[in-house]
Amino acid sequence: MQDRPSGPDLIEAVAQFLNEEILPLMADNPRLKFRSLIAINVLNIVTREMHEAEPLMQAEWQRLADFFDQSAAKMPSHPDQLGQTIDDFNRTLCRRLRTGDTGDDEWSRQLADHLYQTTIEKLQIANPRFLERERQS
Amino acid sequence: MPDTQELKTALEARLAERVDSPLSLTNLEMLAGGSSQETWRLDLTVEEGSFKGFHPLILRRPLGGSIFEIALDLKREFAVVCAASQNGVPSPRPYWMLEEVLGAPATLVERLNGESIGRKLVRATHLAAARHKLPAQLGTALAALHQVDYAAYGLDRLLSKPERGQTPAQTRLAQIEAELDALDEPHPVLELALNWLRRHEPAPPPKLVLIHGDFRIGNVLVNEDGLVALIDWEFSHLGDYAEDLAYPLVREWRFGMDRLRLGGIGQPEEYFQAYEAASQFPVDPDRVAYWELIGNVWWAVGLLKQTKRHLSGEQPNLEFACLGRRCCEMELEILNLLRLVPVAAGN
Repeated sequence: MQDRPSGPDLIEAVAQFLNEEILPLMADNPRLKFRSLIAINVLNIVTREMHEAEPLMQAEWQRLADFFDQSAAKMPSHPDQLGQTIDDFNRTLCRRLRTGDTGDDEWSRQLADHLYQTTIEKLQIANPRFLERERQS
Repeated sequence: MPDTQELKTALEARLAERVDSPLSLTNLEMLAGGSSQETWRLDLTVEEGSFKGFHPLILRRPLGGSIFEIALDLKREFAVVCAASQNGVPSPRPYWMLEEVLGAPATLVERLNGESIGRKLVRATHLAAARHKLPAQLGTALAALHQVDYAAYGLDRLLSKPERGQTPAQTRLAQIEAELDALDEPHPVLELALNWLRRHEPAPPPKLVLIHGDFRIGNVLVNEDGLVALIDWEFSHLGDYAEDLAYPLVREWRFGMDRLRLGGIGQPEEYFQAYEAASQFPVDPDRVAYWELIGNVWWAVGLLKQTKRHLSGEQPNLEFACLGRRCCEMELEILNLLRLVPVAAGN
């Protein structure tokens, strides 16, 4: 186990440095200012991902397992393996959609609900402000 | 990126051949922006002959690689701008296509003043009156483009067109599928959209027209009086008029002004009316909605491809790197357009 600070703590320190010390120097350089803002945004994404991604991936795996009638299967405990099985499920799903399969009404409804939930979860990490805007519209 | 002085010397030599006169080239400077081409500004003063006078110019050079496989090279893009500008489509005056400057081709077109950056254009207070005029101006300009007799300019041989026996929509869906397959990542929301699009294709268009291919806020130059020019023609091809007509409606190109469905500047009705009044094609809402959905899927794939260009080392770039994480924004919009967002979610 590593000593403190944690990974997210370190990233937050870098984001704070960029925000408070570097960004003010970029006032006369719109291009570098824009890119600095992107860099800060990237660090914020990574911080959210480190805090929140794992339970979201577990929930996504569970929905996919239910969808493919594999609810009895054991959820992989290692995050890499979890990601790999989600990827496998998604590839199967994509192949089925590509062949023109539309399934029955129940299949379509369950699929739409799962994909909506997954999209929301991606936005929670990647761009929560977009989600906020969506809810207000 | 070449040395500025080196580029200046090489350009002066090439341009002297073209204008057959002493000349001076000043203020050569690289501009930001553009993901597949280098863009420079420069001022050219010609002493005598038919080009005598002052010419503010934009120089473009290939950067290698593009977001989409269908991108035109500079030579073909220049041919499209020539055809458009001669047919009443607001566009920069094309000057020269140079076969070789410092080992690469280059084009020179007139440098016009105006704002093109989308997030500024939809908000700038000094452009409020321009935004009011833009919908009708965009509709009229697009109608003029779609009337161009492209065969008269040889563009039927230079530009891509639908595969034999396929409609423009089928060709575009096949291109998207090929791009997705090359990415080798599963994207179920995009596949769901493709599945729907394959099953709901509208009737083929009455004829093929010259398509801009990236017609939207962000690729138009605007000043206080409204539309100055359509720019960035590298995705031009022959296709379905509804492709261009629908593309500026795609949510991404509203730059955060979500409720203004036409590019964050207005509602589409006036734009559609102006287009219909000046074109031979009717604005069918279902056909436009179909192509708006295609536009969202197309751009989602574009974002994923930019990240791939970074990750593969083809073009390492911080901005490209994080674009893939914006794909889910397009995906939510796709689910909205497919009416697959649960009612309880309040949309």
